[in-house]
Amino acid sequence: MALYLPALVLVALVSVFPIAYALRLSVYRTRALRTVEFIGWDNFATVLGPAGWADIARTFVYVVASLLLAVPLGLALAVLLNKQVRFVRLFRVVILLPWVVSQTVAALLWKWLLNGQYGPLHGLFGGEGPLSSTWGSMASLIVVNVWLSYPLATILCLAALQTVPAEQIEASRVDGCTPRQSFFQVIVPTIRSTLLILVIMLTLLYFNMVTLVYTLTGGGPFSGTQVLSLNAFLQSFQFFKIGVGAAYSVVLFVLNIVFGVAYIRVLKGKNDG
Amino acid sequence: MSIRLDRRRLLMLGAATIAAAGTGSLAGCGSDDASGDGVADLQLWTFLDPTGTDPRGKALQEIVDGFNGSQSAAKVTVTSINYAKIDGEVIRAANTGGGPDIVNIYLPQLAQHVEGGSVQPIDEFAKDWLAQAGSDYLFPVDSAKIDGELMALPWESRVWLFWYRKDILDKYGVTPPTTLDEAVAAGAAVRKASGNKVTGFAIGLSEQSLGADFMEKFDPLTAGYGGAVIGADGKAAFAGDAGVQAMAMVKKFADAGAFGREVLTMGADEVVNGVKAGTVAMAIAGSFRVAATRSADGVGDNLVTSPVPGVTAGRRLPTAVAGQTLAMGANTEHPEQVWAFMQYYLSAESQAKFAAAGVLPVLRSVYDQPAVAQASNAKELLEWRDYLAADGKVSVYPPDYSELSTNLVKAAQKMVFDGAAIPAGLTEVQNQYNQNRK
Repeated sequence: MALYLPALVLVALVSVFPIAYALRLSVYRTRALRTVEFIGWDNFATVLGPAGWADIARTFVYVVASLLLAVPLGLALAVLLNKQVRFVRLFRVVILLPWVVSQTVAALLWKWLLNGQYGPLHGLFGGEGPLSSTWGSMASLIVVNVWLSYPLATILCLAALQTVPAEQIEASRVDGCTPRQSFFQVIVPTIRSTLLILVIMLTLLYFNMVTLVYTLTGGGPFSGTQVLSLNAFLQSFQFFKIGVGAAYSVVLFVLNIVFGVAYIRVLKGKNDG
Repeated sequence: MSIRLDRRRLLMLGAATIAAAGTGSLAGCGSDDASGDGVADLQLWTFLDPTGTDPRGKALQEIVDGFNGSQSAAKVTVTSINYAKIDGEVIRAANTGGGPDIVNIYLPQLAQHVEGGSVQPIDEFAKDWLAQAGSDYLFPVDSAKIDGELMALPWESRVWLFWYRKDILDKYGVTPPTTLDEAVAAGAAVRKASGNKVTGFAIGLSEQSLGADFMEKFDPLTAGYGGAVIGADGKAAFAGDAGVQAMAMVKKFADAGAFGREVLTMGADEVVNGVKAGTVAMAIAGSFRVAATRSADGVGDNLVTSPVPGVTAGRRLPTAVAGQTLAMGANTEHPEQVWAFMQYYLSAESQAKFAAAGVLPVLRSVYDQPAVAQASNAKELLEWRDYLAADGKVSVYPPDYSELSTNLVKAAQKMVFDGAAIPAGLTEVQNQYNQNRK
């Protein structure tokens, strides 16, 4: 037991305590960073009010659309990078390059690219860039997010693909599978665990993403990109309503847990099957 | 050699690790006597960057170097933090027992810092100094008082001016406007003639940076129509006639085509960058940004400033008066040295250095200093000072101003571009704000 103690203390300090503290804050009215009075679920009434549900809906659009683009893209690129072609190392470096760019730098770079007046792509937009409209702004946010996160998907998929035995693929081809059938019925099931872990990782990453959203769109225009994580940040550290911000964080935490458990159950169920 | 780790030793090791980590984290914050030679190490957190291209940053570095060289009791070290993040960083740090010894605070954010407990009153230190220099302030130093206590020392004045790019107006054959209605027409003419590539008159409606650019226009416009955003009783009052007229004027710019939806992505920085890049022809922007903007390629004297045209010919729009202040960190261990630095910062010599960088000094007497009176930008500085003295309006900035400005700019987006009714849009935000204040 004593051997576990330092680890337990560390986990308690960096995980359990902040979660418990956020839960406590979320049921208090706060002034700046201090608790003032216990108000029960009032902060959650704000988060789960009409505006809050709109935030939740936008969060789902952002997370699901990003996943639907990033995972297939990452897998497709991993398949390409897994082939023995010339300059494969160069391709790997180029494809994985966005991974080393910070969210702030990526946001500022794309903000410039998408500027309708002086950005390099301004000819496409006629004075008003995509960030000027609600849907254009959300679409841009998703594209930039995918651009930033597909390398992670690519790396994990590539590592998984390299564990698929060549004999297994060859056997499927001998048995009459087309390359497409071989891919979907042999390779994908073999790397299913990795794919699910990837989906869990990206889901948590997207749900909690603040920097990119804050820097690229700030939640606008017309609140069209205002997602839960951004509101948690704004309420806590721009408006200093730390109680409301904590309530947003708790809702995010619950969503993370729900999705994480659901994915794990799917993974476990398939493996058991 | 082997070390036997029994249960007791492990517990002691764990406790020692935690204690060391705690001590380390505490030591990492706030002031200390790092050198061990009795020299107080003072941390100054500011939005100015001494290593950047902004002339104000270079002036800051000269002042800090001057202070450090002028005495041996304290050494000031500058930490530069983006202006949109500095307030949050300071309040968070102060609430964990750390934070800076000296902090630069923009006046509208001062109440938020006081509520957040990140600064401390300086009445005791400033008493004698104010008795001598207080009447020298261009605008009442009381603007930095919260609940009767002086919380900061204003060191910079700023006014909001009408900016235009002379070269762009000339290119499209547009003459500088003398009224707001003329500004609407001029802006529309420029944007149309440029094929929508140049924003004729920019009013940033982005909710980034807390909607600051919009508020910097809405506030003086409301004052120009005889109202106020926040009334003397602390309640929001912008949904009255004056606020409605101000909002209608903003919408008029959009309806006439002086700006398009591109302003939805513009905050104060983007508007100024647009002026630098030649994609914004006219704007209302702060005096403090003039020097940096003129230093951009191709700008120089093409950027012309004047008092903002009024509602009718021959009148000028009131200008909001705000500015940067210097406050004493709540957790400083060296208040005497901090105060010494604040005095040095407000000295005629330091103020003259900032004036050369395009900053409007806060003390009247500084304008008579040879270094200011003979400076190349002296004529313009005096014009700004006179505008401030004649048409300056000190606004009320409550602790939750950030949230109010963000909500107002979101409402403005809908009223300007989404067909929302103006009185209803303003009333909704006003009622919500006043309800929350209760």
